[in-house]
Amino acid sequence: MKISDTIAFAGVGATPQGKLSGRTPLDLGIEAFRHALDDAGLKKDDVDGILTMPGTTSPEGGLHFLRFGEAVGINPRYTGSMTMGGATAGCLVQMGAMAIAAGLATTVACIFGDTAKTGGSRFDRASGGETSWATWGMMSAAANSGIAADRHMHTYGTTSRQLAEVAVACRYHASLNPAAVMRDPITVEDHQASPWIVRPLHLLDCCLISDGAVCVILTSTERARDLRKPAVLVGGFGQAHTTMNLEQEDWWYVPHQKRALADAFAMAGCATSDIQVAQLYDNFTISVLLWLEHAGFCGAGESGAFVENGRIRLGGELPVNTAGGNLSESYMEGWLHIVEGVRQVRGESGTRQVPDVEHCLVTGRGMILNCSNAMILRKDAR
Amino acid sequence: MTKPVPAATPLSLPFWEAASRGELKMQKCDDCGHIRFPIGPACTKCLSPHSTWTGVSRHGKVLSHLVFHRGYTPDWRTEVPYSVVMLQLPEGPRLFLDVVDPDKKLVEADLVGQQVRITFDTMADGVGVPRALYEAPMQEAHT
Ligand SMILES: [Zn+2]
Repeated sequence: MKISDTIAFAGVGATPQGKLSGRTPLDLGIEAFRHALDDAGLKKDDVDGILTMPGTTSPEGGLHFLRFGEAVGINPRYTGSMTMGGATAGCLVQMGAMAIAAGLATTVACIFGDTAKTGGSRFDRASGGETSWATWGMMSAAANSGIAADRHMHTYGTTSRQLAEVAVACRYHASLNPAAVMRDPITVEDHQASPWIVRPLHLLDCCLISDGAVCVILTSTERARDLRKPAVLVGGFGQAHTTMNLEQEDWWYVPHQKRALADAFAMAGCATSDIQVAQLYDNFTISVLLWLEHAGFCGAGESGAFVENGRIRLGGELPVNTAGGNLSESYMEGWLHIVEGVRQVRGESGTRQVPDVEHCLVTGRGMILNCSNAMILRKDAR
Repeated sequence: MTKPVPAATPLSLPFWEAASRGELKMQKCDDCGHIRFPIGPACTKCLSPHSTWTGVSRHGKVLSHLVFHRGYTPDWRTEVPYSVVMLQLPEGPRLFLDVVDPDKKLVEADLVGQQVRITFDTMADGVGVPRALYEAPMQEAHT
């Protein structure tokens, strides 16, 4: 079964982002769904697949798909919910693409809504199982990415100022994005002066916490070509996961991401040099550095130097997170990375548009350092 | 000291009982000899359910050193800033421990590459909890 280029993004939609008092993950999700339907020129009854990611504040948990289907009045042929943190968005899109390719659905909506900001989600749980790491104060997403940053610094000489370059680039891009939550430009010095959260990570190494919702709708490329917007093809995808942590020495380096990327490039039949713009999952600045190495934009240990001198800013060699990313646009756990990828390939990104985009790389990463996926979005050559 | 007393499970009870005697014990597979940590019901190499709680070194090398300036629970909020290290034991396993630092001097230091001893704190109900102890003059003796 050939999947590459046979499935396309038909529509994308997002609600306002930030602090949205009085809203619920469910009503936000429905609003995003409506926007994505409008973007595609589809009616809700055209959708026969619904895949959801429960928000951190969604009361339904793993049964979220059931409540969502009921709330929008759709009895889907194909449905389900998945919880894989920041890797969920990409994994659900891959699931939707495979369902359409297998004939289990024709048009699949993937939806996420959350009120993490007003609902007080803290993302501070400890891992460890039988002997919870909380016993030793080892908790929070920041601490786990702190291990990755600290090991990268000690192994390769990467510096905090180099991490700052990622935050500065994302904020610059957000300043060009009217929908972004944090739009005031920052400097490397601002990053250095921001308080420590978990050393070696400063406040400005950390993503936002946000309310909002996002929906992306997939269908066959053939159908997508008859819809309102240009089809954005799913060129290739892959995923890989490391369930082990302390037992695997290079766990902190998330080496499984290399496999996810290699599979995506192989399916798409293209290479790193074919990518004009990338949306790389950035729960923390260090995450972007690891993606750059794993995707082969630079060698192992070279990402710190790679991000210097504006190379990942608009106008640079490889603009990254052109809408501002989790760090500055909004923390939609990677869902907005897909939306921006689609818009860049369509040429809809306005003042932050990268010229002549043929391929955009979109990556997702979730849980402690465990889950990853990659997708290559391609312009329809028809 | 307001740190939480760890909750033992049937599987982890031998770990805490040993720690309460000042010993660090981990599960060694009876079939392939692999020492696993985190604690689990089966060997992560050969899936054997048979293992013996075996003493391991009470010292290790620091692979990573974090300094928490945020406390994520009420217990830890009163402790900031505090250090957590990822330790490499000579026998192979790795673990996270917080660092004994009553004068808050080590939160300014970088312990990566250093040797630390593992010491045991006795909590209110007699449970022993391993923690990392860095003693600059002692480090030579353990390298
Ligand atoms: Zn074994």
